[in-house]
Amino acid sequence: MVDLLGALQLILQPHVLFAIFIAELFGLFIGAMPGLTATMATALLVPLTYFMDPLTGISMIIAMEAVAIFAGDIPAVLLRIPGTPASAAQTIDAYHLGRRKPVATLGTDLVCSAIGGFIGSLILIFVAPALAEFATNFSSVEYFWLALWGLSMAIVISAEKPLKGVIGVVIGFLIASIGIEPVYGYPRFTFGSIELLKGVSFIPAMIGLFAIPELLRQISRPREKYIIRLSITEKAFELVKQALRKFKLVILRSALVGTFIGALPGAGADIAAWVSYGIAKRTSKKPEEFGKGSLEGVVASTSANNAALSGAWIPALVFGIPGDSVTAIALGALMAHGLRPGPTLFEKYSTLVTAMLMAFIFANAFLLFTGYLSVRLSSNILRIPRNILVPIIATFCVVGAYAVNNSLFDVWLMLILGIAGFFMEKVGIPIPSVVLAIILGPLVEFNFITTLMKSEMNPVVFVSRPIAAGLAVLVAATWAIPFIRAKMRRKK
Amino acid sequence: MNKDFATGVSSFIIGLIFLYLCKDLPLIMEKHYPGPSFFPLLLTVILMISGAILMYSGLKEFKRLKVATPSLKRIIELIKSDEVRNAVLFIVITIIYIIAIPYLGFTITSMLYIAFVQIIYGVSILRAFPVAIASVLFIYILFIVVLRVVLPEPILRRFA
Repeated sequence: MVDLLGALQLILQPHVLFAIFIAELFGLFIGAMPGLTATMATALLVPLTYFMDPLTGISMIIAMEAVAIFAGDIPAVLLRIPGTPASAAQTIDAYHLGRRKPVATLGTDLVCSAIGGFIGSLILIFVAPALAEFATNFSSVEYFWLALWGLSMAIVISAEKPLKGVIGVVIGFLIASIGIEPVYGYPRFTFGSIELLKGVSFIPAMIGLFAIPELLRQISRPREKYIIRLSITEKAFELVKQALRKFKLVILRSALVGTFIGALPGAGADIAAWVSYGIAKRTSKKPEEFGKGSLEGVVASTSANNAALSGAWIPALVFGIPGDSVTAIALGALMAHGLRPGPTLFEKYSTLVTAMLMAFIFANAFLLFTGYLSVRLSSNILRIPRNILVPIIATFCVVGAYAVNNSLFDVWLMLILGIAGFFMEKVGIPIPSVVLAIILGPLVEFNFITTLMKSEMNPVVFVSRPIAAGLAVLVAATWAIPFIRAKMRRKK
Repeated sequence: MNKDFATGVSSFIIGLIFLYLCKDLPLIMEKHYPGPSFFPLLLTVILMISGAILMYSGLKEFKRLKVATPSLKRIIELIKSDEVRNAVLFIVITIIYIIAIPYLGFTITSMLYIAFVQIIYGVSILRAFPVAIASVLFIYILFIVVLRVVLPEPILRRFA
């Protein structure tokens, strides 16, 4: 029986609420800066969470992410530049709407984001525990296929060419294979280094792969800054009533679609926003307005991208398979606190997990306040030039990488992986696939090898159980998508 | 250079390196169970095959566009471009910063780093130093005072 009151008591502790608020301010700042993503913000936030209790730490990540995704819409409305990839779908419409009423557009965006996030949170709260109960039937074979499916989705969805996604995943696996081997405890690829014996530290690797390429991109055009003026007298919630009355079904549908897409491993808020935008356009009474300032388009994509955030936590908490790169990093933080994601997490720490799920509700409630603040402060945030911001964030990266193990070795590791990540991005290797593989590498290897050992090297065991066979079909179907798509394109 | 070709060559080389590194690890254990190098070897093979396919498609692209190799002039132009120079300069300064941390300590090094990066990229000295001091002060309060993280101290203080 879930102790709802106990969970509520945990989440209502003043220091947790204060941490949520601070994290939202941080998310507001990062999200509003074009080019700085929620993923990068999470990578920077995780080292801080090491020094907190798990609930405070994870609540901070959840809250920061929710605000960052909304704040990403701010430069989309004001400058026609999406602050985060999740804002890309609505950028053109939001910008055209924002040219007439910038504050009101942002206000509507904010309310729809919060509603989307709220619906996604409710689904997460009700679906995750039920799914966790079902997942207790899973053995190493099912976990092997599930991890492989997550990786396959990440490859097929995020890579410009699936083969480059495969290369990204293999590189991630190879990085994860450094250190003590998980089955026999054999040291691998350590070159005699004591630091490498425990493997490549997850947090420095995340900071390196996500933050450093971003900083290198920003510093290559150091003097760029944006100047924007907003009218103080304009009412922020002027368009909200109209949007809620006209598009309530669009909001509900987009939130449901967003949560579902977010729950697919590898598909994040950006894809959820694009799909919902597409559905809204196809079903709209005025599809001709899309791309020219359609409020319906803005409402659909913004409700979906915030709902997707909660969705991404469903496979992360239930199976240990992250739905997107932010939850991938957050999983690392959970594991650092000794909490292993999976069905047993719901059994062993049911109150704590329920409190974490409740953090979504509180994060979205706070979003209305911090989001309003960000609408009013956005012109100041956007005015900070990159040549001031980059060295400060770089210093945070160094501290974050160092603080995990008090080791400069990790700082070097962060820099090396960051430079490698920069080049990988340049040639089209998707970084999220690399990161997902670093996280899932030990899980895939362990389950793969132990399954082979248990079955006396009989490969049929991989498809002998019904759920395993179903998951194997799912993996095969996922891989068939790019080929079918290519064939259809050729036919056209 | 063609992106596919570059990715293919790099992947193939990484595959070769890991292939070499796997040679000292047991491949098969007792009862014919897979050993510690089994999984990485499997990955290496996938990496090298993927690399070879990308190299081939890159070469086909070269042929299609009738470009034998990128000209040296173009590569030099690319290296000399402001964007590449700014990024390389930033990496070099950051490397010097990390090397200096154990000697000067985190606080002083970070302050100098934040200030110098700003100045090099066009911020005035009068603005750069106050920003640097304020940022380091914030990091100091957050990490050292509140979170009690032990950040590197100057080498001289350790002998004092």
